[in-house]
Amino acid sequence: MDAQLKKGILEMCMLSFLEKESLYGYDIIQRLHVFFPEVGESAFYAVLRRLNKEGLATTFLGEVSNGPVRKYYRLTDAGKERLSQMREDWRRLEEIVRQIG
Amino acid sequence: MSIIRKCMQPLTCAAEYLNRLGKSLFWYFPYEQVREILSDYEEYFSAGEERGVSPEKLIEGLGTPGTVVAELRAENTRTKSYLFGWLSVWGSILLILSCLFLHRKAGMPVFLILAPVLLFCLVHGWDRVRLERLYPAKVLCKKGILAIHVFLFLSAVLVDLGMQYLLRNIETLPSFAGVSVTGIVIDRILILFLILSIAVLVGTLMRVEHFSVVSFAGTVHAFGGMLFGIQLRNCLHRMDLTGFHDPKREILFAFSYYIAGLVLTFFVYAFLKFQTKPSKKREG
Repeated sequence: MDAQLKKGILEMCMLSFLEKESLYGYDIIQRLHVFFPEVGESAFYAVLRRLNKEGLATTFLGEVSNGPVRKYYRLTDAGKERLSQMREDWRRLEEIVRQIG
Repeated sequence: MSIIRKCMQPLTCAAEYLNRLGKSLFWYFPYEQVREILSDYEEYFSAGEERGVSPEKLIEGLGTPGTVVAELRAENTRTKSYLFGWLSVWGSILLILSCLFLHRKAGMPVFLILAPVLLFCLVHGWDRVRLERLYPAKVLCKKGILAIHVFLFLSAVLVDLGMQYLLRNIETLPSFAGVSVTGIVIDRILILFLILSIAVLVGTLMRVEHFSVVSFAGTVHAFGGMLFGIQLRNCLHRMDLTGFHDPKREILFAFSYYIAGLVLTFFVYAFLKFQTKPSKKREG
């Protein structure tokens, strides 16, 4: 897959996962890995970190049922906004590609 | 050789992976961020192991520490990297001090040992030390660092003692067919020095992917030492030692060779980095 294209798609998928529920790093990465097996896991982590830095996702410490404390990621309002923006863009692109192709 | 072999082993242990990742990140990210990233990766390992995934498998999925750093840098365009600057300063000063020490022996050993440590800590080292404490190396590096410095120090002392001996006794020593025995001995010492320098060079370059302090400094030293050795040998063959009578000029000589070594190292590293870049293209 083209690197530039992939970058945006990964971000959107990650935001979608986080929209449904708060997840911790390993979970997010493994879920994405199922869909993008050819992408290295460290690439997912890098995207996740950027989302956090850009304030689209925020972290909090949560406990897995009687397990260790983990760093969970949750979508912020800015993240929700970005996600709906991206979905909008995605639909438009899809439409364009369909019309042309 | 066992040190090199250890370094060449594939990474299978999470602690070792984190240590090397820390060293690689250290070149490009400030301490706080390095710690953050490392704790995330630590969590990744523990979460993976909890689900019964072996560390080998996890590491395989993540890729080498070099890949991780490249991915992070590709995503994080805002963080400026502060590459190599402090290390070259440190290297150069260590070098000047060791040259000074060889010519003015009184009081210098203590200073020689302390100065690099102090400077290292002053410029950037304390963070590095903290990092090493949080994620200590499990396999290597202490020995590697020690070996490189002991080797450098011993070889410098050997060469210098040899030179002084030669210069003092050049007229009284026996000679075979016009060639002084001392000359031959010194020639052998220099060849040994060259061979060892090349060995260090090869050893360090083989594990260059995580840009550790050891491999970078080792490469600079090895290149510098090699050039210096070659030049010294040439001078000896021509029996033209004018450059080595005067301590100031000798320091200048050594310094210029190490600068050349530094430049060569930069080229080698730039080349290797160019090769290990991820396929991902960065936005302009």
